[in-house]
Amino acid sequence: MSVPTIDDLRVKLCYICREEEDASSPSPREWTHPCKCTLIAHESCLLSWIQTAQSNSSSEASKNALKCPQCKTPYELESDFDRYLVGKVLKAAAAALQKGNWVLGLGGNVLLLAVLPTATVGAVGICTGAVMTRYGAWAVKQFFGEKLYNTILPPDKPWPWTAYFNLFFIPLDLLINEFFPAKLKFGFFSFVFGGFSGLTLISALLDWPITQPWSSKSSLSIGTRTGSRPLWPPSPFSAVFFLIPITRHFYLRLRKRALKWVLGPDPARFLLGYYYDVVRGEVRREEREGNEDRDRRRRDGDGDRDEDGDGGDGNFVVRIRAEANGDEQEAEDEEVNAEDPAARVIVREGEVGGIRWEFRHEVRVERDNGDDGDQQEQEQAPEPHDPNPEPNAPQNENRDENENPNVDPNPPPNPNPNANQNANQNANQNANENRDQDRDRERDRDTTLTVHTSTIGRRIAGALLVPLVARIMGGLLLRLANSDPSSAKWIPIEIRMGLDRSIDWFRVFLGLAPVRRQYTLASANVGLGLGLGSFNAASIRSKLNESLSALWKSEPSGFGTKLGAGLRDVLSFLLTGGGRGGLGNNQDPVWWRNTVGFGAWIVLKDAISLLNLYLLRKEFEARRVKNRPFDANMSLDLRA
Amino acid sequence: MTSISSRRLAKELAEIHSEGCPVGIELVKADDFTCWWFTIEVMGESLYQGEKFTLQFRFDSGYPISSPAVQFVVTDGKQAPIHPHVYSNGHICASILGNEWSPVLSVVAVCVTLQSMLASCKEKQRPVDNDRYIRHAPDNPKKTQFHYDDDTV
Repeated sequence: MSVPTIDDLRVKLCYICREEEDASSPSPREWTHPCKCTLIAHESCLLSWIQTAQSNSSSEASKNALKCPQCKTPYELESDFDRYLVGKVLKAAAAALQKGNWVLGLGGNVLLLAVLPTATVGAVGICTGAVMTRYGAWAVKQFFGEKLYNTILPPDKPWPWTAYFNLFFIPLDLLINEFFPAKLKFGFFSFVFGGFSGLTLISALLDWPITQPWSSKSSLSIGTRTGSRPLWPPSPFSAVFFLIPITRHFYLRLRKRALKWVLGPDPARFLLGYYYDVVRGEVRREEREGNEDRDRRRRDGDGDRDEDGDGGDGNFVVRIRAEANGDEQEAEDEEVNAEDPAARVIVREGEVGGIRWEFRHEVRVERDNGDDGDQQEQEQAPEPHDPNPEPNAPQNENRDENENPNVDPNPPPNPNPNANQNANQNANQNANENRDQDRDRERDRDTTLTVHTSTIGRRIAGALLVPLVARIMGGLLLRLANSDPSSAKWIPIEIRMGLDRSIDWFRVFLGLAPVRRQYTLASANVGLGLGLGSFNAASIRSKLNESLSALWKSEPSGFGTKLGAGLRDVLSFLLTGGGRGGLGNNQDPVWWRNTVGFGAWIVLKDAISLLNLYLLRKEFEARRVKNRPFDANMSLDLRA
Repeated sequence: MTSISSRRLAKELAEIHSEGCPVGIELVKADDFTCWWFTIEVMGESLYQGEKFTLQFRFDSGYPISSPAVQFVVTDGKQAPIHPHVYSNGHICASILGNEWSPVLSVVAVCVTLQSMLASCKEKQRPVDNDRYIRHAPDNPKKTQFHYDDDTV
C-alpha cells in the first residue's frame, strides 16, 4: 500500500478557515499537508497566516507561525523561481553591485571613523583644509577634464584666493548635497543629480573666470558672445538651473513608480517575509544563497544607518495605511505626521537584495476609524510580565529586533489588507524622530516603509566619488560616441546605417563634432538610395544653432535696448555660452559628457537595484508550502 | 458575500449550539460576528469557587488569522477575577491571545484555556504593575504588548 497523501482524504478540513471539502465535490483551491500530524489547510490560508504573522508581529509570533501549532513540525517553504537562469544571472549582477556597495561602504566608514574625527581636532584643521582643497582640485579635474582644469587653474600660475575658497567647499558641498533632506536645502543645493550642486558648478565656471587674470588665449569676451555661440550643449548654468532639475524631477517620479510596481501590492509582506525567510534563515529552503552572503547582509543591516532622507541618492518611502487615501495625499500626510508629536514609532529594518529598508510602525492618535480591530498598539515591556504602557526608551534606539523585539505580538487582523502605498522619494525622516513623548489611549496604526538604497558609509564614499564616477562614465560615453559600426562588416548595412545615424545624434547630444565618415554618404547611396545620404548631422546642428541664435538675437532687439547692453550681455553670458567659461567654441565639453555620464550611472544603478528587487519578489511570490505525505500508520479517513 | 471570518464564526457558533459549551462555560450573547460574551466559572476546588466572570470576545475581519480581543467584562457590576495575570480593567496577559495565537485555536478553546488558568491559580492577587497599567491601558487589549514569562501561574 502506498503512503497516503492529501489527495486520498475523503473529507478535507482546513484548520485555519474551517471550511470542509468533500472528495466527491472538489474545489479548485489547493490543499496542503505541511507537517507530520493530521492538520491540513488550504495553501492560501496557510501562506496568508505565515506571511501575516511575519509582516506585522514580533519575531516570537512569526516563529510560531512557521511551525505546526499541534505537532510543532517546522514548515518548509520552497520556491520554483530560483531555477530560472535569468534569475541567476541577474542575481549575480546584483551580488556584484552589492559587493561594490559594500566596498564603498567600507571606504566611507573608514573615512567616517578616521578622517572626520581628525577634522574636528583643531591642530590638524589646516591639514584637513589642505586635503579638502586638494580634493576639490581633483574633483574639478575629473569633472571638467584636464584641459579645462589647466585653463581654469593653471599649474604654473598662482591661483586666486577664491579658487582655494571654492575648492575647499567642493567636498563639503558634495556631502551636504548627499545628506541634507531636500526640504531643508536651499534651492540649488539639491538641483543636480545626487551630487554636483549648482553652487559647485557655478563657482567653478562663473566665479573663477571673472576673478582670474586670464591669459589672452582664454580671454573672457562677453560682448562678442551673442549669437556666435552654439546653443548645444547647454551651458553649465542652464544645465544646472533648467535641464538637470527638470530631468531629475521626471526621473525621480519615474523611479518612484518603478519602485512601487516592483515592490508589488504588499511591500511590507514581501520585505519582512523575505527578511525572515532568507536573512534570518528561520525557514529552511531547498536552494539558498550561501551563508556568507546572508551574514554579510545581516552585518550590513545591523551596522550603520542613515537617518535622513534625501531625494538625491534616493530613499523611498512607502506608506501603508488602513484608511483609503489617494496617492496624491502623501505630502499632506507628511505634514500631519510632522506636526504630530503624539506618535510613537517602532522600527524594524533589514536589507533585501542590496537595498536597505526600514519598517516603521507608527502609532498615532486615532482618527475617525471605526475598525477597531485593525489597530494595534505596540508597547515595550522591559520588565518581566510588564505590559508597560510607558516606554521610555526612544524607539529609534532599538534596532536589533533579534534581541529585543519591539513590535506588537499580534498578527494583523486582515490577511489581505487593502493597504495604500505611497512611495515618496523624499522621506524627510528627521521629522519622524522622537515621536514617543506623548501618548493617547486610542491609536491608529500607520506603517511606513522606507527603502534606503545605501548606508551612511556608502553615501559618504559615494558622494566623494561622484567626480570619478562621472569621469569614468563620461569616458565610456565618449568611447561609445567614437565607436564606428561602419567597420563591422558582419552587421547588415541597413542596421549599420541606423547605428551610424544614432551615433551621430548621440555625438550631437554630447556636444561633439558629428562630422565623420564619408562612408555614411557613400554607403547610403549605394545601400538604400533612399536619400538617407543627405543626412548630415553637422548641418542639422548648425541649423539648430542658427535658428536658436536667431531667436536669441531677435529678443534683445525688442527690449534689449531698453535693458541696456550690459544686462543683455550678462543674460547672454548666462544662457548661451557663458557657462562655457569664455574658453572658446572648440572646447571639448567634457563636463557635459560627464554630467550625462553620471546621470546614466544613476539610472543604471537604480535599474539593477530595482530589477533585483523585482526578481526577489517574484521568487517570494512563487513560494509554496512544502506538501508532505501522511505517515502510513496514521488512522485517516481515506476515500475508497 | 460572507467573509472568511464570519463563515468560520458561524461554524463555531453552530458547534456551540449543537454540542454545547464545556462545563462551566456558557454563551451569554452572540448577536453578531463582532462581539460575543461568555460566562466562565471554575468548577471544583479552586480559589474562585462560586464566582462567575463574564468574558468578552471581539473579532475583526481578520479572524482567525488575527487573534480575537479577549477580556473580562468589568462594567454593570461585573468584576474581573483577581489573578496575577488579570488586570482590574479586565485585560488578560496570556500568550495564546498574543504571540502564541494560532488559527487552530477557537473561541471555546480560548475559554477553556482561561478557565484552567484560573483553576490553577495559587494566590489571589492583582498583577504587580496593575495600577500603572490601567492608567494608560488602551481600550483594546490587543494593543498592549505583554511580556509572557510565567507559564506556571
